[in-house]
Amino acid sequence: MLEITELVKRYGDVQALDGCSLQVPPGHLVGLLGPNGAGKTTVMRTLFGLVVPDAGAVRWRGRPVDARTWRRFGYMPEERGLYPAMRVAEQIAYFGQLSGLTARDAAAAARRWMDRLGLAGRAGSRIDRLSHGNQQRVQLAVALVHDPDLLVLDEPFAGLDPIAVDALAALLHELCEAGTTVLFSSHQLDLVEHLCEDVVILDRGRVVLAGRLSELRAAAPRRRLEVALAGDAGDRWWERWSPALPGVEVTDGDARRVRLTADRSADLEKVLIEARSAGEVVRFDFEPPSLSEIFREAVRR
Amino acid sequence: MNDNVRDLLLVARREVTTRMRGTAFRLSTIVLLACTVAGIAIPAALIGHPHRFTVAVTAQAPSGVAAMAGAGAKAAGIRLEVRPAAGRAAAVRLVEQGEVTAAVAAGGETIWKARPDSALQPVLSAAIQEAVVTQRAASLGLSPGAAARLLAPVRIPVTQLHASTQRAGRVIVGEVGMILLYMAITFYGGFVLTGVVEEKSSRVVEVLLSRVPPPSLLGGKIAGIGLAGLAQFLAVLAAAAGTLLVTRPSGLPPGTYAAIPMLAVWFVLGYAFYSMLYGSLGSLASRTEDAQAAAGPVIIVLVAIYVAATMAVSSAGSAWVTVLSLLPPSAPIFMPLRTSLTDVPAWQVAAAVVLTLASVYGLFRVGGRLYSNAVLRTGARLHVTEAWHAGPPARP
Repeated sequence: MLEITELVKRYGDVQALDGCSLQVPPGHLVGLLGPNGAGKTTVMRTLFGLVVPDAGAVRWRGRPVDARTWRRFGYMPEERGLYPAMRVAEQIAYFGQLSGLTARDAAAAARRWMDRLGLAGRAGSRIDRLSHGNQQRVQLAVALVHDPDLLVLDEPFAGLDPIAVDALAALLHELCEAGTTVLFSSHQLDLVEHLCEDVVILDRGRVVLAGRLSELRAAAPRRRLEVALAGDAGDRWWERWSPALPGVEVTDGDARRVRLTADRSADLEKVLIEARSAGEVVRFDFEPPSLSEIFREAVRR
Repeated sequence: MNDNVRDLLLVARREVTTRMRGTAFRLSTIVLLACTVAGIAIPAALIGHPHRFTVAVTAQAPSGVAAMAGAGAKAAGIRLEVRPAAGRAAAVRLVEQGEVTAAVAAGGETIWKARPDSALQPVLSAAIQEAVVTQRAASLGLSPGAAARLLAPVRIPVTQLHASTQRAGRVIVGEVGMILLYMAITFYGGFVLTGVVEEKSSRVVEVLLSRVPPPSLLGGKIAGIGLAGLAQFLAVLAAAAGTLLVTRPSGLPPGTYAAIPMLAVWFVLGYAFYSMLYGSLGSLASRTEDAQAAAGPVIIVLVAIYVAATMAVSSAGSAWVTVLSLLPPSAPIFMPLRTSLTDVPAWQVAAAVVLTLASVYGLFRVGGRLYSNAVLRTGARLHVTEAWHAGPPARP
């Protein structure tokens, strides 16, 4: 279990973290979301002691993190970086040794991860001679070479093509099943929605929403409603009744359809009655919000 | 093994292998070695004397002159071979053909092809003088023992109020050492500077620091580059010593060979001092273009010290040279120069070493803090005070 408690960090006038607390249960895959500048990278850097918080604590398996625990963590920073002139196998093994592996184990682990990530033929290539995609793979191998207990990835999907995204998603699932705890940040909300069950949404240095995605959806204060009619009911047919209904907001629609968001308190019965008076209702779809909607709601300014 | 030490050694080993594999290192080693050997051997061959001579002695030459010339040559550090000649005509022929450098004939006549050799001539003259005077002593009735006592060399005590012997040689040795030190410190300090900035600009530093604490990373880099540099520097010094031993140039001041290991010691100390400055100031820059500007103060200080050192050559005894040879920023250049030029009390050398070591430790503390604070900050070049106050080091 990774526990982050009440982290505070200020850079001059910028309050990067403002009482940020979150937990990542063991073997879970947790997506860390938030608008630009929310503090995601600062949280991740704090996990590795790269940033020393002004207040708050980071605990791993019940104990404060230190140099010994850092060796069991793997990190892929948002700003990717490798030694440009160093060879692939040598580079992966070097970072393995820096994480405490012996020279022999590090070389074996480097070979294993190169095979696994499709870099087998590239062992002797210089990093700066590799394609962008292969450089990303080496970066991932560097984060994984010592089989970390906690894997922290900052924007791992940025810049990947759809096939690479699928491969990485599959790998992350596999790692979690094998017991690795994974925390990653992303801007691609649809991707996160399909990939992980747990999300943490960060805004202005604080956690504004956290938990199982299914529970967050069920508990969301606003839900999505779609009503479709059999025939045309005229332009903006909903305007006759929707303004009178409290807690209901129209997002879009046409002569036969309307999409609404409704508060928990809204009287959906009334919506149905009004729709029926406009024509035959062929669809009355009621669904929890998507992650993007939850996200927008949570970070609404 | 302590984890931090293990990290430092791993980082250092990568630096050593990376440097030694680099073309720049190999090429510069070859060029430096070639320059060193040529720089000593060519002047030695041009201005030095051949120290092997063959001299022909005719049967009519003053008796005993061959043995006396042999003894005199030995004392003068010259190898002399004597061969007999049948008569004056034969001796002249040998000289003419270049078989011998000179010949000694009846009455102590010396025969040269052209101008008498300045090293050989005094030896031959002294031997002839001695042989002729011994003959005269015998004809005056002195016993050989009495003659030997009469002719025994007079020991003349010499007192020099101001030691100025082989001044030119000492200046050359001192200046060559100074140039070598200045070049090596600038060269390898520059490697540390670019190494730090490259890690920062390629962003690999964040991946590194998630595993290795900043002092191990900076310390390992400095140690690794320093070892590669020391290997090259020692190779140059060994080449210099070897060439000196083979060519034996004349006028080599005493203590030249002792100065060579001292240069290695001062390289280590000077490099440690300046690489710490280069490394910590380099961490303030994010791009290679900013590196030179960030290290500007160090470069200015080093150049100023070098210029001052060239002026110190002519006034090695003055107080300001003594002061600068003791204080850390200038001691690595000034102290070896001063020891080459004058006799420096041992306690002053020891004091300079201790002060430099202490300042290296101080720089490691101060520079380590700057480095830790600055190395993860990208963007515009940081100011020293900004980095100092940027908060506590990333890791205790």
